[in-house]
Amino acid sequence: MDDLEQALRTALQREPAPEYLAGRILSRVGQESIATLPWWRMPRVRWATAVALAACVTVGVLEREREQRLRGEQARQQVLLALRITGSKLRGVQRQVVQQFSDSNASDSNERGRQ
Amino acid sequence: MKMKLLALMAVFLFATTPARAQAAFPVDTSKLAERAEETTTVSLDKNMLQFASKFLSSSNEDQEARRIIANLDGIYVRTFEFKAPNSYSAAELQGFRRPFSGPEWSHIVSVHSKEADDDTDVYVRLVNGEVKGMFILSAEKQELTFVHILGPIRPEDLTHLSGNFGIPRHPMAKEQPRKEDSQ
Repeated sequence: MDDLEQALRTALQREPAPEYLAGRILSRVGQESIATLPWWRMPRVRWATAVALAACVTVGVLEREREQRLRGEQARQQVLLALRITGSKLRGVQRQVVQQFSDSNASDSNERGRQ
Repeated sequence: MKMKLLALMAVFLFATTPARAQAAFPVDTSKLAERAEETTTVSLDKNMLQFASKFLSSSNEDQEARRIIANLDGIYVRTFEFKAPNSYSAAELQGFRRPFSGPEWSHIVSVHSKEADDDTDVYVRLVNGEVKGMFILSAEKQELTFVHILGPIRPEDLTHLSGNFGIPRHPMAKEQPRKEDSQ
């Protein structure tokens, strides 16, 4: 009985794990978890996707702003062109009206001079 | 069903946009455009005017433009330059003047220059005694210009045009202080 007891004790005696075991288990766990993930859930892929999305959004916003500025500048040019054309036509009218008034005044004073 | 509805809406919008632009410009100039050597078209409705005003700078001309367009509902300009003189007939000109013979339009200026052989007509649309629009028809030997301004135009707006946009400052304009200046 004592021998059996002794044998059992020896067999069941607690032994410290070898030092390399923890590192080996951890590295295998890490490898297995990455290997079993679908590709789109890989950390690098996720990061790359996030960066690409952020870049796309930034480029989109900048492009939209550029287009908006371009359209605004075109609209501004059109407003100025329309006002310049209107202005030049009104100036022509003003000049002609002034000319006709001065012509009629001159002919009136000539007639008065003759009388 | 949804697609059909969207397609119908798109067709409706596409079909009505030129119609609205045409309604804003009361003269049909399509035949002139076919004959013209060069055509200038400016079509700015209220939305576009408001959009454009955001991009006007702080220069004098831009500030003046902003003030003028602030209350307007639209500016439409058509200029046709022809290679040869007399590319349009007197009957055509009469046709262009016809929409403004109604009671709501007043023919305020009509000038004819023998020397340059050109005619200019200015019409204003009066609603309850207030000017709510303006139409300018300028017919030169080789150029026809139409300007249609929609919205309230105060006489002082026109005098304030002077000094900018190529118009010399009129002595009368100097004497009349602007409301904004006096406040």
